[in-house]
Amino acid sequence: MTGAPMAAMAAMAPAFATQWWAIVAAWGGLAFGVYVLAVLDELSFGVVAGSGLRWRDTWRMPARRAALALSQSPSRTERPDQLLWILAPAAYAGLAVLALSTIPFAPGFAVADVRTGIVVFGAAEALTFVAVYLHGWSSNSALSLVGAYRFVAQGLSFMLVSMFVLIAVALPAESLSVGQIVESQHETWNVIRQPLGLPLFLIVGLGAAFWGPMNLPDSPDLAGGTAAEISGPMYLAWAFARRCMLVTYAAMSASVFLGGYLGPVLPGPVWLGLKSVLVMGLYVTIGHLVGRFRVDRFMTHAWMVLLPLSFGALILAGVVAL
Amino acid sequence: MAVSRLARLAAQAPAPVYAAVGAGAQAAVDGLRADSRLRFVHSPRHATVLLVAGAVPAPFMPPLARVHDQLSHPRTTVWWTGEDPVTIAGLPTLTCLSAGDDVVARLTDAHRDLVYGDRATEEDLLPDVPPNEWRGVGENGQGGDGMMGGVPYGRPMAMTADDRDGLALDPLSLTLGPFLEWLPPGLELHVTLQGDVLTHVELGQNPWLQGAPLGAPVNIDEPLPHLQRTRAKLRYVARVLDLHGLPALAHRTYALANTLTPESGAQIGRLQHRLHRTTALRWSTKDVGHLSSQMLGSPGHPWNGDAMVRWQRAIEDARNLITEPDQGPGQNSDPSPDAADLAVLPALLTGMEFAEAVTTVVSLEVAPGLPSRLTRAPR
Repeated sequence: MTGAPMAAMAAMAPAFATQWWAIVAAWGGLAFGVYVLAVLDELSFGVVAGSGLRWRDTWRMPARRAALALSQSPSRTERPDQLLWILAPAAYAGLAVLALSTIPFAPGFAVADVRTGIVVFGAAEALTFVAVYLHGWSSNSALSLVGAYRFVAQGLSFMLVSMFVLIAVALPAESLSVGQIVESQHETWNVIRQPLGLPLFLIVGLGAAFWGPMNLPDSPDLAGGTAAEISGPMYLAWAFARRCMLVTYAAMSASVFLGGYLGPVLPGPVWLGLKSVLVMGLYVTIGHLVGRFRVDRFMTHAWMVLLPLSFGALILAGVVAL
Repeated sequence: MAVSRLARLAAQAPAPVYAAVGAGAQAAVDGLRADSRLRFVHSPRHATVLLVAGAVPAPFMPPLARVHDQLSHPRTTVWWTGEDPVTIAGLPTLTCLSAGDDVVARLTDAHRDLVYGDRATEEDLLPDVPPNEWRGVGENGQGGDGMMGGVPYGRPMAMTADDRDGLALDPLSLTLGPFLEWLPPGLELHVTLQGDVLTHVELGQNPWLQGAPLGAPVNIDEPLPHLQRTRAKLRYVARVLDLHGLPALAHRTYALANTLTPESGAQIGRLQHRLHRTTALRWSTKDVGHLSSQMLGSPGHPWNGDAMVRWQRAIEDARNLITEPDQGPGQNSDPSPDAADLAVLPALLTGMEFAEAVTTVVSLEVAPGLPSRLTRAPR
């Protein structure tokens, strides 16, 4: 090949280099993060319910509940869409991993720290509609389908908020890459520069992973919603996928608002882990202290209050960046 | 028998139980909810043990069989009656518990035996065939009379209909209950859903009242009847919390109801203070399911107001009752809701969204659990 096309191709090459051990670290970190999240959830339940911390039981409880799920058998309903029913948790977990791949664990160490990381994250976020809707639809059950539609209703309300918040943090970094956004926080973290961003992004994270106050798709009033008809390994897969999504959002919040891998003394991945655990702690605490929102009230509030707030925060960030 | 590591871990997890509550058993089952060795699940498919509590009359046996068949394998049934043992053809390993048994221990034993394989899983009670046969004519079921070509499995084709939001969604007819968690035990609702919205609601079989508490003899001369009423109010509030996404606070409230003493007033006050500060619960229940005295027929009816007023009044009453022990068993100022009062439900629920309907029904305290009420069989 001649020099000019090769130079052109080199110019189009991505600005990162994937190390294979970043992929291993991403999967390992995700699995570990899911377990830590489950333990935090148990701890938070114990504290709010007044039954105390009970350390010895709590750190083993997620393993016990996973083993229980594996010992049960999968359920059959009448004429489900079996292929999509199995694919839905896989798709949901896959989207969480896709979103996690844009997040760097250390300077230059990421699975895919592409120049348009925020856009990839947003794309993964939008495709969660498909995964959750299919999960509710495939079982051919009335209440599961209501849960699926509820996710679409709540999701439409906060997707725009999510985009505005992420664009607002991209402005000081002058880049859509998550690595550049982390690097732009050397002097001050974005949680201080843009105080509205983290609270809004917490709501977005709770919504995309439908956790706590946003758990409309899988809520008790629908007898479990999209998860009403699953049991056994399918139940474990869905529970794992939901927690993967929450861990991904925690890692993203930590990266774009709390400085990600930046910090003295300790290595980068440890800082990212600690900050993610902090955000996960916030998620589970909110989950146990705040009741479930009503979908129509939340939608009204999201479009009338949260969206203007996020737009205001974006304009403010833009003015500051100028 | 060698037990695998997985089975050992699974046996140590809290036993997932689905409670099918029968006559006179709501208070007893609520007394188990604070135990950390059990986990009460919202869907029968997540459970290994089906706990049937109280008496289940013959009209409710087929729905109970359907709930039983929805449990995932391995599964077993534990029937907690106060009286004579019950046997069901098709369930040879049915465990019967009477009033004096340690129910939690027997439930966890049943769960452990299932997981270790010491107890066989129960087979289906109902045949796994569609309720109606295929009505087509051709060899693939095609053809038949009418524009739709027959009525496959007895279900007419989904046709659109006008609805509230102009979406023209197709109506779906369902029966909810009688062992559904958010309905009063034994109540069946025949609803037509268009999307999320209940366009038509009919009451099915009537529920029985919650009478004498299971496991404890009825004692009209009980020295602390106000404690019993406080306990019932707290359990009602806990149920509201559980079904509004606050399971940890619900657990705390159930535990408080179990350990109630005349000195618990401060704890109830703290709980009331915390609940008054929760915005989300007030958001979800404010202006939902408003019942006026005209609809209820009496001005002092305990169901007056919207859902928020009802649960706030309940916890206020709980706090007042515990500090006023001088009310004797015969002095019962507030009229107790009756099964006949449920006749307001169809008019109230029609046109509501599903979440609003659940909030409304859960907020109606059907049975304060007074010892002077009798258990009544359904009409």
